[in-house]
Amino acid sequence: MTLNNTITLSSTDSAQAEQAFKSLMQEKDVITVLVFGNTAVSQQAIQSADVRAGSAPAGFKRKAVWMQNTSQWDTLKKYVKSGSIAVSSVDPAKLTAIGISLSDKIDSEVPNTKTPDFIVMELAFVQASQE
Amino acid sequence: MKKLFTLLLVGLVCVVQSRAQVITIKEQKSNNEKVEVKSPYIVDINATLQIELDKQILLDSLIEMLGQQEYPAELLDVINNTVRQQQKIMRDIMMTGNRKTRLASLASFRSAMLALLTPLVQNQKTLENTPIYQAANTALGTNDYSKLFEALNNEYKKVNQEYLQKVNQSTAYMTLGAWINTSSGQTQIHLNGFDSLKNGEFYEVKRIMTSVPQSEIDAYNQAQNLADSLQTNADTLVHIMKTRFLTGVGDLESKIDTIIQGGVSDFEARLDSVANSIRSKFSTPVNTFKQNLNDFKTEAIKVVDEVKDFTIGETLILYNQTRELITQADTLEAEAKRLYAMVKTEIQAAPGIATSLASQLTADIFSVGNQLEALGKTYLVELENTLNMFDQNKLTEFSESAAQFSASSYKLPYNSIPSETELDLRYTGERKAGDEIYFKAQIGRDSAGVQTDKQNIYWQKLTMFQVGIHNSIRATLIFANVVNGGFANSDSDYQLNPSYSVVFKLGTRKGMFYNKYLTPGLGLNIATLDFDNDNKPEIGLGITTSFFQDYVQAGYGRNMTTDDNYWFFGLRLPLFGWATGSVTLPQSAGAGN
Repeated sequence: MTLNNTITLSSTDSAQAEQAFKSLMQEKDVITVLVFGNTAVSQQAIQSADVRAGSAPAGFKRKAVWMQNTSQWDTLKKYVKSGSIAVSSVDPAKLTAIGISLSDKIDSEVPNTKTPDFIVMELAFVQASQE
Repeated sequence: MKKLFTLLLVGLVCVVQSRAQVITIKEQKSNNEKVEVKSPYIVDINATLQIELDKQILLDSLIEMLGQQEYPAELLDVINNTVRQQQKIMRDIMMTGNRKTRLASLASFRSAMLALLTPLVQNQKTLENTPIYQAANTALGTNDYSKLFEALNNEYKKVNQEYLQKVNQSTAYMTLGAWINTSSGQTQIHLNGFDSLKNGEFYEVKRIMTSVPQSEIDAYNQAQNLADSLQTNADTLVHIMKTRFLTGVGDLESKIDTIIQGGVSDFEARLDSVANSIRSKFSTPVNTFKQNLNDFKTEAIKVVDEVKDFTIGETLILYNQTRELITQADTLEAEAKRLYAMVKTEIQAAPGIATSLASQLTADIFSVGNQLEALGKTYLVELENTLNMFDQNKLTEFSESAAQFSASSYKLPYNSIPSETELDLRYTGERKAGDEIYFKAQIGRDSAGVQTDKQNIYWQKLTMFQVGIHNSIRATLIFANVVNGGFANSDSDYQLNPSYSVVFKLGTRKGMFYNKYLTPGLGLNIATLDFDNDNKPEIGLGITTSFFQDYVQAGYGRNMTTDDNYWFFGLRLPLFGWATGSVTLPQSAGAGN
């Protein structure tokens, strides 16, 4: 699988994963979609998100992040803030992905009941396209 | 499939904003600018209206009626809107410059894309195999948004072509009609292209009146008679009002004495014979009740006394005092009920006394309350009747179901339906401010000569007023009060005189209450006065303000003959049904008392 616009977090080296995620969150003006897990659905989601991350509406960069090891969420969630969706309500077991806004707030979620095609992942980016 | 579609439709209705109307009405203003008529749907009484049909929405409505929909109309609306906004969205996507500008573009992009994508994603399960969804998904597999708009546009056109074909092959039609509602009833009026009715009589409501209408000349003469009559019969009029009031309140005093002495005092005497524990429970509420009754009596006596010195100008004060008494009577009634409840539960030893006493108390209080309420209601009815008078038209409500198309209305197949038509209100015959225009559109289809599936797709009421500057000329009865000094050979503070007011107003498209009831105006008052009481008329010129369809006026003027300045309060006639030549005493008042 070739991913051009995706940061894949290390599943085994938690410190490295944390550093990569933290750096991305510290980067200014990036709209992020974080895909959870390594199931077939997750794989479809990250491929769709990777394509959709190739565009940059109004010059605002997009990034896809793939967190295959969902247990890392407990450590990494401190780098994001509650937006229209509360950090505490994010459950990687029930969600395929979340969208993180320019100001690191969670503003979209993709439930695992949806097929994560291009339309669904574009909506995740669009919902998070705000400060 | 149909069931799935219904579910989808329900879902979409929840997530997509309500559809635009099939018809948009615009009013052509004097500078030829066309403005959409919106809530509160007020138009100028002489306006030309442009009625525009959204044929896309009409097509969707027809296809829905035929049961041939492939997509919910709401989704097609969203796609249509998005495609129409394509250039703007692409500009937002490509926006460069400072962060603030780009953020604004990002917000605009987000808003447009949310409208498009949200219904697609929320209804993914039912839509994902449709051509539109698949085309959009394929297009988003690239990073070029223009491909998305192109794909949506192509699919939208295909769907429309199919719809058009289906509608044209059917017997579906649309009918559009307009009705005018005046105090003389409702009439269907001609809409070019939609019926074979004839235009109504040309009638332009004058913006500026330059001559006195005959109705106001008649009212002026009535005002003159009434002024003379009231001047000589003022005592009689006051007597009528006093009698009416005293009939209602007159026996209150004795009634309250009966309650206090007959009921409450007996009750207190009986309390002396019961145990201390019970007596102590009742002492406070009984004393309070007595005190309140006495207060009530004092108030009632005060009002009755005031009636003895009552003058016409004090009507409103008296009305408010009556309302106050009614409120007090309600409180007393509640207290009596509470006392009754205490008596019932606490005095087990003397149930007979308690029950009898309690029922007496409540009956008396009810009686006082009822008398006051009846009196208050009489005044309220008068007040309501007065307010109704400000609504001159008194139109009969015209409902959507009552609006029936005449045989002259065309049943137009889709391709023959004009996309717009005009209605010049001046060709709708005689009408006045506050009259209404209604529009109704209906779709249907004929099947083997039988009409089926008739559906109303549009119903709108417009109210006509004079918008902008206009004037009225009214005969007005004024109550003049000389600023310094009085009237020759008279102790009266006021003199009643007939007059004309020429009042200028500014109508608006924004306020129904403002146009219909408040109607503030400013103008001139020309009165025939007789300050020196020599039976030779003097001319008074003044500035007046007017409200409530000119029924209430107030102003300041100068008697040009005697050089006296005066304040005045004016009433437009007819008011309170007083526009008669003389004052008649009702039978019950007892003439001459």
